[in-house]
Amino acid sequence: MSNFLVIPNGTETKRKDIRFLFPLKDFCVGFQKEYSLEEIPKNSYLYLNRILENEDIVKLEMICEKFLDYQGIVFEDLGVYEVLKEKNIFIEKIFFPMHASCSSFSVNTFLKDMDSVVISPDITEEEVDAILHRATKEVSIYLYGPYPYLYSRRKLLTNYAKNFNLDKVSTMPILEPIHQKKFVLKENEYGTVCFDAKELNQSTYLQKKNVKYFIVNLDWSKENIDVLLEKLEHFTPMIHTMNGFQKQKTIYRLPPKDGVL
Amino acid sequence: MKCELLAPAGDLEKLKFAFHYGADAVYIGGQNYSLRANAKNFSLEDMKEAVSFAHEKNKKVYVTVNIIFHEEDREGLKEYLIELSKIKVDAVIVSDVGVISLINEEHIPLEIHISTQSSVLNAKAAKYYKDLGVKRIVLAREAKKEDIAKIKKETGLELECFVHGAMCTSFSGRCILSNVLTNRDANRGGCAQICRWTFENEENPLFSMTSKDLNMISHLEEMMAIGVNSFKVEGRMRGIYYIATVILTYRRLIDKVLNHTITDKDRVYAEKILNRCANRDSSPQFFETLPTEKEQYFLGREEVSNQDFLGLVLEYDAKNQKVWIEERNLFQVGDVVEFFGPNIETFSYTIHTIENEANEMISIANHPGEKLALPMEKPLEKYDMMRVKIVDK
Repeated sequence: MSNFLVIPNGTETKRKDIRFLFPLKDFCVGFQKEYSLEEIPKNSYLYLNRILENEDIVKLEMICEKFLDYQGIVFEDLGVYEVLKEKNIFIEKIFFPMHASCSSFSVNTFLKDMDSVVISPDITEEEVDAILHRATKEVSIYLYGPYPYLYSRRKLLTNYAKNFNLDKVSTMPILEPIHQKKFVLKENEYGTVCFDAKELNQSTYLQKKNVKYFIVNLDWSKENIDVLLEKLEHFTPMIHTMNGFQKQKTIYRLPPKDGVL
Repeated sequence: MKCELLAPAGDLEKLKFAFHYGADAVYIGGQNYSLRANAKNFSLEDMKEAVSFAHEKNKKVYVTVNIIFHEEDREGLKEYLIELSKIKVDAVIVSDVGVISLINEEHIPLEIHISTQSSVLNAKAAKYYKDLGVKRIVLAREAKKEDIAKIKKETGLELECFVHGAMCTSFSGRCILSNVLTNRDANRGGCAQICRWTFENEENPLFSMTSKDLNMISHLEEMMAIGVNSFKVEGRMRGIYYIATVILTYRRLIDKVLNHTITDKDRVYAEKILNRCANRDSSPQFFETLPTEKEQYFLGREEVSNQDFLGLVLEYDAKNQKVWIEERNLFQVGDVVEFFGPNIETFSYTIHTIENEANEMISIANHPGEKLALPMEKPLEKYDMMRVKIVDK
């Protein structure tokens, strides 16, 4: 069994060694396709990526016993963990704090409660290695797929359309003119996500040890699952992908005028 | 606990003005680990002075340790937290759970508040932090009235909510546009505010996602009723005039709410003062309903530079009935201005004469920083301020 956790795109697969991860309808934002519990095959994994309000927690409490039919859950709001704990729902819990798991320091704290933690895609390979080395349990890596840069509760596309009296759209490409950088905005009733126009591809991380799951998100991809996974496994270069911050360390304190930090 | 008015303080001078103008507590950042990495911020020595100054006045100082840590950032953190506990800061504001673990494992006696960077919107997430020993949550700015009430009811935690200032377009902590476009790490204090930039779209008009500011003066009673303990003003990079104006306005409104003496006239006046002081429009944003297109800007930055702050009172010469001020922006004979301060009723004043330090009469004050005297019958206090006349009360 490989350790791919794949968000599917509806294409056929002959592989028996992959697990599927399904974005759960009403608990996700930024996806093209979401699935109701009835549509999700048993024994797969559920993905809840929204920051939840109290009314969502009530809905979650009403359906979460059905989660026992599934292998596990990937989630981005700590409220989900508390609900599962209170309701004694013992399935695999994988927490994805998105931009907040940048050190072993943070990851190991979450690992006291979770079965695995997805490390942030925003860090360098060196930082990934340090976390893998120091983590107290196997962590997971977001290997391939749309890379969310901003998540807003605002309905940015609806507001934009209303302001300029345009037809409402749920997806819109935009360009930042100074850097000629392209983004894609996706909106549903729960908010708006701004993604890089290119998909994140960190396939070289497949060589890393101590990884519980490699998450592959095919929500935007039209390619056959098996073909794409094979490309990832063989590190085949792909256009329209980028490797994020793998080789790019961020700074946060501006240098003084003499240029010395 | 009583209702707390919490002010930003980017340095010691701003801290003193915040307290002078009515804040019950301030939040400050150290030289490291704080989300305003490029602000002046506080050295440990400054912090000692700040805490001592605050505690003498029975006020509080909270220190932000709210970056998301990378491996390299951990060095020195334990020692820093121990120092903060020795200084007796009243709490640390934290977003990275690793910091909470460290405080707990090392038994460092520090009260922990969860930063708005953690974007807590529901009672269950709040409970997770409560179980880690957190005393207070700074809720997400996206929290609706019902969410705040339920979190309070189910957890009993102290709740801190923003009442005034700039808004992120994103959930706080859920944006790395700055990292992508400028390489400046938004979650380590380097945010370049990309959400205030303009973008292009092939078919449609220029795209922007800029949010207007937050302003909660119309909902203070409701916030108190649902259990908000601390009313937080945003703006550690703001100057003393902004801090004095916003804090004094909220101080007076909160006191009037508590005394049951607030009127619609008070609120209208406060609205006018605050709108003039800020450089963006403001609204209650998420408290009652989801923000619409009216709570955003669409054509890029539409901010207006504010030059209302005309002078800072240095001393009052009772014998000669003069007030000495330090000029901050241009004014001249004939201008109608107003004076405000924490211990006076704001009043209008027409400038008839201006005297400089050489006892010469001048008609125009156009050298910011210059010490000048105006005839004044009403006694004023050091740190009162003179501004452009905004509106009749």
